[in-house]
Amino acid sequence: MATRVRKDVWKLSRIATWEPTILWYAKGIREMQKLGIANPSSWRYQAAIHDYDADSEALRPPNDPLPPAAERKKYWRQCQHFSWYFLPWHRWFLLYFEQIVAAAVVKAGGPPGWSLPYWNYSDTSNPNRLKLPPAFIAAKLPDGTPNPLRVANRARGNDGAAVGNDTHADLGCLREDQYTADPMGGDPGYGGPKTKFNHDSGDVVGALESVPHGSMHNRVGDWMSGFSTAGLDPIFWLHHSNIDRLWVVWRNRDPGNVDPADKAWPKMSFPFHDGTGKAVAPLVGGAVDTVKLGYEYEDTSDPLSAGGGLFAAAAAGPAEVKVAKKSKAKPEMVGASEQATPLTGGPTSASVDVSAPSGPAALAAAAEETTPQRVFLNVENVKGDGTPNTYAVYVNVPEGEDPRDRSDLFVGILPLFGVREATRGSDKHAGEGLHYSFDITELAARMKDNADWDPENLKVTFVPDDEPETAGLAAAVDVDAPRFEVGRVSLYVK
Amino acid sequence: MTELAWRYPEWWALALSAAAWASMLQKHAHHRAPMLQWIVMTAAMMVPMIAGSLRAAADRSLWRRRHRAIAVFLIGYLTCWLIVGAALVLLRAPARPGFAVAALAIAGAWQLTRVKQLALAGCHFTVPLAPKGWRADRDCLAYGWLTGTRCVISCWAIMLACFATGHSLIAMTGLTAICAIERYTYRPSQLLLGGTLIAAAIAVAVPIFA
Repeated sequence: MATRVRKDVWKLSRIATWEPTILWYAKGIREMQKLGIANPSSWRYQAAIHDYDADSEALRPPNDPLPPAAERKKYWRQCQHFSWYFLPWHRWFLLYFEQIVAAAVVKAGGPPGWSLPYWNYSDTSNPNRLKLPPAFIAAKLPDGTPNPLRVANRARGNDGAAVGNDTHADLGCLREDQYTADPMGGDPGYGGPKTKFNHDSGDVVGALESVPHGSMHNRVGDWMSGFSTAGLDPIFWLHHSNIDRLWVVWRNRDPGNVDPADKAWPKMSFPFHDGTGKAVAPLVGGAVDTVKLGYEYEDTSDPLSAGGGLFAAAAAGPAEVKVAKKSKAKPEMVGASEQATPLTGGPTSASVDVSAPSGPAALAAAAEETTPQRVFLNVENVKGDGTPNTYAVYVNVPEGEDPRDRSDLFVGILPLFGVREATRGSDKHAGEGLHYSFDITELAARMKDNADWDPENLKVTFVPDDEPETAGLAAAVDVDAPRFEVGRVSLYVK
Repeated sequence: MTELAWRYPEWWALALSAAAWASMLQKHAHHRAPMLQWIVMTAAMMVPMIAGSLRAAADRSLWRRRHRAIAVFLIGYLTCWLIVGAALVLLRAPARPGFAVAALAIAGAWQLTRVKQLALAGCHFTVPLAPKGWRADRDCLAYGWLTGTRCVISCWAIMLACFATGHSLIAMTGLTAICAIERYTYRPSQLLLGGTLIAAAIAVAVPIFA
């Protein structure tokens, strides 16, 4: 069987708004939407595999009975997040979804071999990269029927404007050179922490899963900002197709970028239904090679080596030093905030008293004086409910200055995607919230050079991405009362 | 060795648990004061279940405070169980076979309740810890206490059964295995675990009533 190619949706859109791949996606979805939620090939069942809760239940049409409870328990609410299974689970999820859409396309009179496109919002050669492709916001299909690719439940993008800026689509995550997260406080890894089956139990968020994955989810917003509704927005699948592509990009860009060597990882399996409706339980180990799965991506070149004007790439400067990244050293906490920091409609700050390392980091520093140590800013136990905004994180912004004018002190984006789910306690977890870890080694070195760095104190500022008056978002952010909260900010070195 | 001790700072708590098991093996262990016996049993059975939380308390503390964090967590945690033990001793709960049958049966039924499942899921989590001074101790104590309360809700009936068997080593070993399975394996069948406890209740009951 020939290898199918998943194509860049913006390149297709330049050929024509309704280029056949895009048009058939719309018609395939329409076919799937005709089926009841109990049918594994239906649109709603597919979204429910990702998650299903009161939010999605409220959207269920009357007289559309659910599948049996045992089936729901086995196949629904499966999405893997804050976990090293995030990438392989979503790869299988997309593959079977693609088969199901392809079958629906044929049923609707289309050609066989339909492939899921991807949305490359980080493509700096495309000025429209951060906008939804035109077919996803058009009211009607060319034949005048309603367009299933457009959903009203988006916080941004349906007006044709960009859903965010380049910090939300930043690919600094590609610099990660380990797949799996360190023990607490250290590197979040490209692919996230070692876990068991992990649907929404709080843990550190892997670098790719945080930005651009989580940030772009929340920038499109509304349905896209919740686990249980995200799959109902057709752009979700193109977003995840891009995340899946970035796994390939990461593996290709450096021979040292490899999947987990831990034996537990490839052995895990997850239940799905394939394109024919047959129950399958593929292994994680079977997901690593897309060609074996029958598809590849149009472009898997390394965006960082192309000299793209990406925010973090620019901030990091040309001298990208690989500082002891392979080190298995134990991360050591050297400071933390005394109390929680609310995330509100305006900037808020946390103060971190920093001590000199006295454990492994001190020993390592004494032993290898020439190797700069890695510094991690941790944002821990982030909890909250309601509509999440994204926040930009800055350090040591001088009093009276607007952080947004100090891109040199920018740390990264706090996407908050999944915080709601990780905050709600359940019979699976206690609701401790999410943890983010930012590698600020290079930022800290630059600040030391500029004497911006107080070795005993670090001020961390969270700035909401949207001004309260931003149209359409008033309800979400115009209250100063905290809806989200950072439990603790801490600094680790290793 | 140093690397292992760094990675698993809770090692000494686990060593204490091992020592508690060793002391339960002693010939005259059952002559100990009931309260002491209860605490030794709790340390033996329950500390291995909270190893991850102890590590989290240490790893989220300044290096020089990491063992102190574990110790203070343990004080908060064991206080919960101490209260349960004190109640049993004060109420003069009998360590008799009939009581053991009832306790095992209750433990089996408890296994199937939603409250138990919520407590089990809730017994491993992290909280923000202040880095220094009395606030750091307060937070570690609260972390241990909160973990302990969920642990008691999850496992009270199992520990009651251990008490009722007069801290029998067979009961302790079997019930620790059940605790370990539900704590460390993914979604074990609670029907099977609850059924096992009820089967154990029947096994103890048969010789009494036959």
